[in-house]
Amino acid sequence: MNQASNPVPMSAKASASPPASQSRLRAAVRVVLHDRIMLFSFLLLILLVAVSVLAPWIAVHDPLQLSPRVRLQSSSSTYWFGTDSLGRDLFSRVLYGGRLSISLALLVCLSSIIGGLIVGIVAGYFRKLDSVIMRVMDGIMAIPGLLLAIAMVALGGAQISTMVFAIAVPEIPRIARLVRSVVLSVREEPFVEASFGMGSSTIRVLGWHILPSTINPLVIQAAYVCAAAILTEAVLGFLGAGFPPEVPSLGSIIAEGRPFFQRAPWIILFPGAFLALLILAINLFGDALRDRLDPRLARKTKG
Amino acid sequence: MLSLIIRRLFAAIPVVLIVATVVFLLLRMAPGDPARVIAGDMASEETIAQIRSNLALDQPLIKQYALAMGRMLQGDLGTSIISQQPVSKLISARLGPTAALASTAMLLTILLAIPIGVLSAWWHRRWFDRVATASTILAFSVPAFVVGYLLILVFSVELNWLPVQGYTPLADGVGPFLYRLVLPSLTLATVFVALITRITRASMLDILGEDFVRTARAKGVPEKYVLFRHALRNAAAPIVTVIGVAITTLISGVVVTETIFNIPGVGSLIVDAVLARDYPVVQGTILFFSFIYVFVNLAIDLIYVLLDPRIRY
Repeated sequence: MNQASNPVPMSAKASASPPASQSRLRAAVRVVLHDRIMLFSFLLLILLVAVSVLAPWIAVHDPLQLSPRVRLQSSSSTYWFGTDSLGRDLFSRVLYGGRLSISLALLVCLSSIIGGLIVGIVAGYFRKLDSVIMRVMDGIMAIPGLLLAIAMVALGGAQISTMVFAIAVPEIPRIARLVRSVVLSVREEPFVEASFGMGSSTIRVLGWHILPSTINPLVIQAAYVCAAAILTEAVLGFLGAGFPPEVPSLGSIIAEGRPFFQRAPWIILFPGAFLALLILAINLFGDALRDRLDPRLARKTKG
Repeated sequence: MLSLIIRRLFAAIPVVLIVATVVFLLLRMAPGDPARVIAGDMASEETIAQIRSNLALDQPLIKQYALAMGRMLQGDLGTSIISQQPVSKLISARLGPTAALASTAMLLTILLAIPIGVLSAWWHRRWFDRVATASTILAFSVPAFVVGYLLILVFSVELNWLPVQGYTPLADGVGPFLYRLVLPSLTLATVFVALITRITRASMLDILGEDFVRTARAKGVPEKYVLFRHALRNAAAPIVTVIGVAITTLISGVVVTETIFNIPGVGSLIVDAVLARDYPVVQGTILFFSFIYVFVNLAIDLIYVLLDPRIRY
């Protein structure tokens, strides 16, 4: 992408800039403002999140209100995205669907990061458990995550707890591997040994010295987990294995539009576009974040 | 080579057992009560208890596990609640369309992604590379079902070039078979092309900076041989690895693609089973796909040896 246009002056500025007086927040704002892709993806993300969160105030129609007389209408000044086969306002449904996707993604992100952190630290730190834990993680990685999620939701019913569990579990191995590799490299560092030498407890060393070094890679990973969670939730909804039909979710809106696709393609295209933009914004932001926080990895994959 | 294959096959046995155990445990650990879900909202307590005992869900966990493993080792993946047929039979009846879809998508991916990736690396930071890289990010972000419907809208509804949905078996002729497979394979391949293009480009960029490439160029090897014979061969290992790991993505894609295009494959088997709450079929199909993953990665280990004579196991 466009990184090439400003790499040298940027990094020079970034490395020279943060004086002690400047707060971390202002430094972060500076970085976002200077990186065009990061700025673009950040603004897009903020916009999509804002319209979703503010859905009850922005969307004037009730997403569940049936009005058979206006079914399958294309977009107009009253119904911005048109209406679906039951005459429900698609614009409201998409925003409420986005709201569901985003909140679910945050829950999945949080729980898979916590899960992966615990598993990764235990595996990386307690060598005796390492091989057992990592074999189990390899086992989970061998199972297609979507199928596992489908099965768990199919068996457990579509409550929010099942959905979060089902989408988070397949994400845990990758996070655990990442954390484990960081722990393995940090635990050999002299400062960790020094801390032990000064009589620190295991818990203190883990929390004080090892945990902080996992933050950067985890922040990058968190972006990708969010994107994956939004996608998986949509696919589950699309396949009919998601939330019950009365809950508007991007995937189930698209699934409901399938029989009317040739007559009313907007029922699929608007939620599809919303979904694609949301995932695109997160992916771009994640890439930009990775370039910023992990220059070594960025060089490897970007060249 | 033969002894290597046999040794690797034996090494795969514990992996298969671990995978089966993980599937078993995760499905039991998920919140909710399968018997209640299968029975539906209106069922009486007796019906639920009946289902529970039919599926051996009332037995202690260890006993359920031993039962499931014992069956699996005999090649029994369970029996459908709805059709009363063995799951392995249901899967094999639907394997053809899935194999056709997955292999054409894979072929398409390799034909598109590797040349694009190589050229992207060669024209590093020129317009071709920029366009290709931007397209891969876009292709990553558009979900398969959106890609599928866009393709249907353009090529079937507007241009009327290709059929909307359905599947024709190979037995009915190569022409009709491929004709119906074009859109599904393109849909399935999109994410894959993006992924493999990215990794090919990255891997080629690494290799093109190496001394032996400079030497080859200096001694006057034509550039296309430098790229495709010298560099690509050495860049192949990471590409093959990613193909192996991404098999799970391919399988998820198969499920979605078969649903969009109404293809009667293993993917739609699992979706139908979910909707019918046919629990043994769901579990059996997941196991089947996980074993596919294990064995594809086993095959990939063997491909390494063919690609790179320096690797010995």
